[in-house]
Amino acid sequence: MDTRSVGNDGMNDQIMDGRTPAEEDPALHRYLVMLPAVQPTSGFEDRVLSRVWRPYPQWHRRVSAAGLTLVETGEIWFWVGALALGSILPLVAGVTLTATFSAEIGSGIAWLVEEGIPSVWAAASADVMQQFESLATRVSATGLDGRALGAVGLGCVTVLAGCAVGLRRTITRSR
Amino acid sequence: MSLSGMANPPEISTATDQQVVAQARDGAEAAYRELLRRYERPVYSLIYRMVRDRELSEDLTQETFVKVLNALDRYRPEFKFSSWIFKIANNAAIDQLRRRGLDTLSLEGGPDATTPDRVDATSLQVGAGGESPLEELEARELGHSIERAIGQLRPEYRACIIMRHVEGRAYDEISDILGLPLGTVKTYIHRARAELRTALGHLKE
Repeated sequence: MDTRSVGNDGMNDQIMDGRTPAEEDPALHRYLVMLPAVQPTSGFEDRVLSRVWRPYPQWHRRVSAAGLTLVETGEIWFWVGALALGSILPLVAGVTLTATFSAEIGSGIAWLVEEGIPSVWAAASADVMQQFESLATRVSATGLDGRALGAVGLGCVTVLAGCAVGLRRTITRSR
Repeated sequence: MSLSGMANPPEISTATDQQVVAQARDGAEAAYRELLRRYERPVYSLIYRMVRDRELSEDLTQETFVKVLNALDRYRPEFKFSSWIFKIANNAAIDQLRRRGLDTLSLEGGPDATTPDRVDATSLQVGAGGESPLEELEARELGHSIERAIGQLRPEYRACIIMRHVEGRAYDEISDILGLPLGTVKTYIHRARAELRTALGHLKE
């Protein structure tokens, strides 16, 4: 075993390399390992991370770098041109089809505006109104006056808000 | 597209510190959390045993991590990450002790503890749980004696003995962390042990 004299204060003791702290001084080590474990309070990680700047993910940096390269080299104009040319074909096709079937398209739109949408709207609003009327009938059947109903409504809103706040605190604490 | 060039990152919990740092440099929040998870306790423990004030220790630990995590780009993987972070933590603790003009510590609360709350926050927590009241009292007394003895050491001795016996660090790593020659570290540990043996001489084996 490699042993060597240490220090320059004239001590006779020798510290041998390769030994564990417990082997070097068993009695003292027994005392020192009895010191209790300590740790920061909860939420420490989040407090630290809120003060740490984190770089953007690699994919983000790659995309940004690629975009910058396109601009710096002028290649961006080539790709913009190619995109514009590529858009011409579907644009021309769309205009041609619209011109060819303009009569059919016009009558379809006219039907939708004059009959389709109004009939769907009427059916939906009639259904909603029916539901409201049914609810109003049930509420009036309870015999409560306006103030009592207002108080019940306020109570419901308060309970709902309390639940939302409690849920938010629970989620925050569990992080 | 070929994916052969894209190496899968290693499982973070089993990755080496260097691998975790590499992932953190890539912006992975999980990697930052992993570094915190690995080192928050030992770093806090070292600082706490040096400055002996829970609130202050937490502040210094936080400063240490903020400094380290914001400077990951400057970390050189050929060195141990643990040495780097402990070096910064130790420097923070030593600076704090110098600012307060403290060489040694009292057990019953820090020097700035003027209220019962502060005394409680700065007094040392000793003794293990799960014992009978008598055993707990004895463990507490023993723990007090040990903490008192450590608190009376010079800060350099204290740092050395804590890193060696409480953190289980190797001599060369302690030397690296404290920026001291290996021989000096061994001398400090030798002297610290001698002082602790004297201070704890009244305790039964």
